[in-house]
Amino acid sequence: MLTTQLPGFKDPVHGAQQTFRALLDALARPGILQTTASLTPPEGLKPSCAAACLTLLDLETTVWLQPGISESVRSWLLFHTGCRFTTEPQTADFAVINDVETMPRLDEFNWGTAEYPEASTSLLIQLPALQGTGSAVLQGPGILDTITIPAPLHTDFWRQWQEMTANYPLGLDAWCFAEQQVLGLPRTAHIAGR
Amino acid sequence: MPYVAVKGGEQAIQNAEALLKAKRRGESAVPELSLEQIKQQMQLAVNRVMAEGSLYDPDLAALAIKQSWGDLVEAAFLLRAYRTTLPRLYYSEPVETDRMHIQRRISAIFKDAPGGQKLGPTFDYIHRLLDFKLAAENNQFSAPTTEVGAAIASTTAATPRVLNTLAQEGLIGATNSEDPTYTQSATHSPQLPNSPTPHPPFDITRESLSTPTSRDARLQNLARADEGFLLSMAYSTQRGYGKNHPFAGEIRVGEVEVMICPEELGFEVAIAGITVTEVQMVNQFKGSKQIPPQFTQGYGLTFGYNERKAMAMALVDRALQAKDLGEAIDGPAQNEDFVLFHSDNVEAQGFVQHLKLPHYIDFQAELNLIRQLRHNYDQAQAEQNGVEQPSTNTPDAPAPSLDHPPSLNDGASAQDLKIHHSSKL
Amino acid sequence: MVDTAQAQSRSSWISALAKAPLALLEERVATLGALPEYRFLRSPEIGLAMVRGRTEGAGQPFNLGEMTLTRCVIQLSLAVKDQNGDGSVSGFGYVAGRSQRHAELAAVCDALLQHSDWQSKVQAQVIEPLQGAADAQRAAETAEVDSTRVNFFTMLRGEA
Repeated sequence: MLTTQLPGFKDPVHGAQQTFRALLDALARPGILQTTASLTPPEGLKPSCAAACLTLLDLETTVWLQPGISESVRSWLLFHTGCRFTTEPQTADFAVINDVETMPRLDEFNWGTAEYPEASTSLLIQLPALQGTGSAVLQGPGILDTITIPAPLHTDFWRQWQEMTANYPLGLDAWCFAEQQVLGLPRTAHIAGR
Repeated sequence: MPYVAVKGGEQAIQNAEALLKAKRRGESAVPELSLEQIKQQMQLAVNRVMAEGSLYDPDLAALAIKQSWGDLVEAAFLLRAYRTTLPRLYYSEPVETDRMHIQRRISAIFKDAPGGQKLGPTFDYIHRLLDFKLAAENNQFSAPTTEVGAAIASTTAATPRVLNTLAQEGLIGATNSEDPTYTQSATHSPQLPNSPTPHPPFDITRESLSTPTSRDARLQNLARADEGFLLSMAYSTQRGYGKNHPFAGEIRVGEVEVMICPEELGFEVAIAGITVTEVQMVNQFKGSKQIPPQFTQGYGLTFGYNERKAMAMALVDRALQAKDLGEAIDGPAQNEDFVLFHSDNVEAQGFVQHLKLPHYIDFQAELNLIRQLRHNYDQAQAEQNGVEQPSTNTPDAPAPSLDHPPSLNDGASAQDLKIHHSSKL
Repeated sequence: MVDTAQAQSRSSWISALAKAPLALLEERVATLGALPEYRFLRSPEIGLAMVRGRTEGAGQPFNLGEMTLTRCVIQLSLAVKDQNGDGSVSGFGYVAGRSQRHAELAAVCDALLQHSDWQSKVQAQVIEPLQGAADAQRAAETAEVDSTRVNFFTMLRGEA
């Protein structure tokens, strides 16, 4: 039997609503930290990323888990959301990433089509922390002037991101998670000054 | 020109809603309807709302009927709106209508149908005379019963299909339940691009329908289609618009188990018994170069006891197979584009009824256009007659009578136009 | 993977619990006395199941329409160990309609039925009465429907 010993949200309706609002605000105000509902995640998921998974995934979504993510995460997600798994980043609606250093290139995910750009993959990136010196300065809708992103994402990631944003409206939207917090990187946020 | 919205009227709108609620309740001296009363005593209305609302939940359907003041199309709309708020958690295994717990089962083609015929509760064979005794209250009716004994055991077993008799003789395109990939019998049809389904069935609630359609998509569409529309389409085939000689091979009403297989459980469980109506129509088919003469089938399946709808569905399903069978398409019921895109009453009522909403600016544009066209027309007429008339027909002048109204594509009558014009909207 | 015989009996009691009228289920569960403590692994949740049919009843599957469904998973508290020392029994409830209470009771009974201290008691006091009531109702319906069994005779010349 595929099951888990860990519950989901204590209050599923309000937990999901609160988290959805946080995810929405994160994309509307790129780079500004938001707080999700709390819960006890399985080993291998940050609490905020786990909350986002419960909120966004269901029977009709296809999820790619970065290799190395534990079996307990998989069975927890399956139990609570009923989501489908894929091993092809290109076919994923959502991709959960544990290690940015070894993740696939951004162009290996689905960027959507001109007709349905929203059919792209959304990235759920787990990071050790969302603080410290910024790694990129972004601008775009929802950003007053520019904003420094306090996320430990490497230079190559940002180079790929810059290439991707040139293809707007095609592209990926991403959230970065650490502990209870989330920040959003919509495809409209591009490297400042370019 | 795009639609231009209006604002204002909040108080009137709130009062209109309050008035509706009060009128719907009626006189306070008359007892309020309970959902249980609707569910039991208006059961066929509940069934219709569940079928067209595409949601099996008798409690919600009864609530929708109460809320809609008895307007069943509005009630179906309420159910459709409600279902969009819920996550889809499972897909059921296909219901096994063979193993239906029969409440009614008849065949119009073989009187000695194996398994027997049972009329069940039906209006058939009853005079359509108003029963004035029913107008009084405190009616007590008790159900007749027979000693069954042996019959009880038989209810758990499958009831054989009447059409199997024809299939055994090879006279009907039979389906094979053993074959999971399902292909129609070799004698039946040329390989259609849509007949085998190794992939999950088409879902019109998730993908938009485009023609040519496959039969799974058509059946889903017809199962939730407006009963009145289907009935008219079905009737048109009987009157000659795509004739196909139908017979009611078998009609069965009863309870089937809904089985789901939750992944977290790893095995199948039945979550409920639901009532459905199943109709298998048998139609003559003269054959073609590839296919010998035989019978073909139309299939109807609906939520609840919904016999008229299920019969109409089966006739329309058969009519829509015309193209696959290489038949001439000479009736509207055979035209899938016409049938499938006009069958949904939630869509249809929305588009028809939206015309009630304020279109003041749109109509102003229309009015100006017509005034201009009329002005040009009058001038041309005058020039043709060689008579130089002073133009009295400026756009601001009262409209003359429209003896030759211009063709209007918006459906506004000449009379409407005159009224609006003279009132200077 | 799941033991087939166990899965079969479990599937059968989960279905009996799902199909039971809520009032009767409440009544039968009340006879069990104090229940062990449990927590929600998945709080009662209302959703939909897409019901499928087959063309001609036996052919290609198609989507017929949806139905409401409520599901729930509970876990008996670890303090309640059965004789095998297994206390982490979880129970699943899947019921048609929108009753969270029904889903919860069904899940609790499913868990107890997997717990050796409770199994025979719940089987005798809940499942068997529920199945008995369902059988009785089915028999009554069959008797009514059977009273409308019909034999038509064709009025054709020459036919016996």
